[in-house]
Amino acid sequence: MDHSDIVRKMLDRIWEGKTTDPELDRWISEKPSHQKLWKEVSDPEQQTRAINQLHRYDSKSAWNNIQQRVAHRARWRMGVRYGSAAAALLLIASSLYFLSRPAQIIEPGHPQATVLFDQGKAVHLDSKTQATSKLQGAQLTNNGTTIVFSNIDPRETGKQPFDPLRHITVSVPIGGEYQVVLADGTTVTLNSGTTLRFARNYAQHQERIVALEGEAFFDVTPNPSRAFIVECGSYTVTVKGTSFNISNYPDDGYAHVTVASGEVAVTSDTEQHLLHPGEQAKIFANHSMAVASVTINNYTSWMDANFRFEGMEIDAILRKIARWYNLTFVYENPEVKQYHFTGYLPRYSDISEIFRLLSLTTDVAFKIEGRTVTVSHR
Amino acid sequence: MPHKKVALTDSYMINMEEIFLEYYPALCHFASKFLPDTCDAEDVVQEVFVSFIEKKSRFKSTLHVQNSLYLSVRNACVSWLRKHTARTRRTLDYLMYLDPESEEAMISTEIYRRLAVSIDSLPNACRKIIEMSYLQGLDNEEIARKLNISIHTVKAQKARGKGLLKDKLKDLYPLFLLFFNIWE
Repeated sequence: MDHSDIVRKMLDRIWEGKTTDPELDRWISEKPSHQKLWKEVSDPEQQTRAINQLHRYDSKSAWNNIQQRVAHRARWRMGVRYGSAAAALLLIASSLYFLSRPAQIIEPGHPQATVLFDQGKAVHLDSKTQATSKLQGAQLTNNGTTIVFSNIDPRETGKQPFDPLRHITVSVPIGGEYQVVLADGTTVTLNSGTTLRFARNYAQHQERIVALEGEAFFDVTPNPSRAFIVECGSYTVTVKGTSFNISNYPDDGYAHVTVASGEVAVTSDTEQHLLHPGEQAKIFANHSMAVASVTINNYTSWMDANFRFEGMEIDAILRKIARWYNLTFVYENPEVKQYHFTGYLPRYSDISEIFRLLSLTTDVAFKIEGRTVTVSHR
Repeated sequence: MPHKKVALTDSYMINMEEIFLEYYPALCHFASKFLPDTCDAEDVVQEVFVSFIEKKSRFKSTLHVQNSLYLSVRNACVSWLRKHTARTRRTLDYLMYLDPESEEAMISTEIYRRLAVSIDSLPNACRKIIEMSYLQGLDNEEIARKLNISIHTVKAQKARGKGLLKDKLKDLYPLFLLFFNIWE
């Protein structure tokens, strides 16, 4: 007797109550699991329960779900466009980002930094290294996002000049960010690909001097008798107590200093400008400067949950994105660099969301291969 | 650009939808005998269908449909359990008992599915009475009172329903001819 007979005979017996079927009886008595099965399926209560259970599954909505899953994956894998009926959707779905192969997830940056003492011992900092330690006379308190320097070796007093051989360097790699609190309480937020260097005797020196490459936001503790000076290669920024942002990346073509509060003096070897809140100085490669009024937020949003861009060139936007996501952008159509974008882009989401938003309002398309992204005109 | 189309309205999808609607609850029920909860069961079954559709699997016959579906869902459950075995000790036990019992689980599921489908396809008046009697466990008197009909009508409709069900259940028998052989 094969299984189909068993099912038929069982259904017969369930509906007719037939009891004279030696074959079925033999099968049922063959194994305990067969007895258990028959006991189960012949019990009206169990039937009721099972059929009610079957009714509980929502096949219609599950089918919708399946259609979505299939369509979604097909769109990713093969670059399927929807028909013209979905014209509005097409705009989004057909952006090259969706047409590209299912990309690996590219995560945003996170807090990480390296502290280097006099070119010597390096200490790596991230969310896992929460500790207070005394290192070569410096007291460090690290909470995973911020490192506080205090009590830097009191013996290192005096009026020594800024000595590159006796200094502490905090480096934030590409894809990192970190906050540094100096001995006087000044807070410096470092963006990706940034190095901040200051003397071991920072706290005792007449002038508070730091050197910066990359981008940082300074919130300087007011002290009228001790100027705070940022050395940025071709220019210096001098303040008393104020907050301001400096972007000083070598690959940016020009640097800029943006003032959020207080007064800031920007000095190059040929020019000096006094800036007020909302003003920005651009310092070009030839050391010339230009001052303009700007929206402060556009230049400080890199510390918030969203980048804020106002009519900014794609080129400049992608340089910021590249540092934060550790990516390299290659342009298939160079004219794309000049396209503009206005809006917010999330800083803590996977890169795909950024590309989606950019291509929503700007005619650009992205193709990800490893850590290299090809940008083209759509 | 390659432009391979997965049209969601073509006849293939219509057929798949029909098969899906017919088997989905039963397959979930079947899967939930192995998996810790019904959400996982639904997910596993949906995944099985998605991969059928992606491979554009075609079925030679209704029998082939059943074979493939139960077998695939069973295999998907085994993979699921292997993947999640580390999580709980209980899944280990499931895994141990999975193989000898999957055959029985399929027989019972298929019986329930057929009962449910057959009841659903009965004429309205008949179906109501059969449902009340079998699914809600009401006796003839209660049914008569609820529907405001005579006990005689209840009995007659029940008998008619049973007869119709028997015919309907007969239709399914050929499907079972080779149904279980695939397991051996």
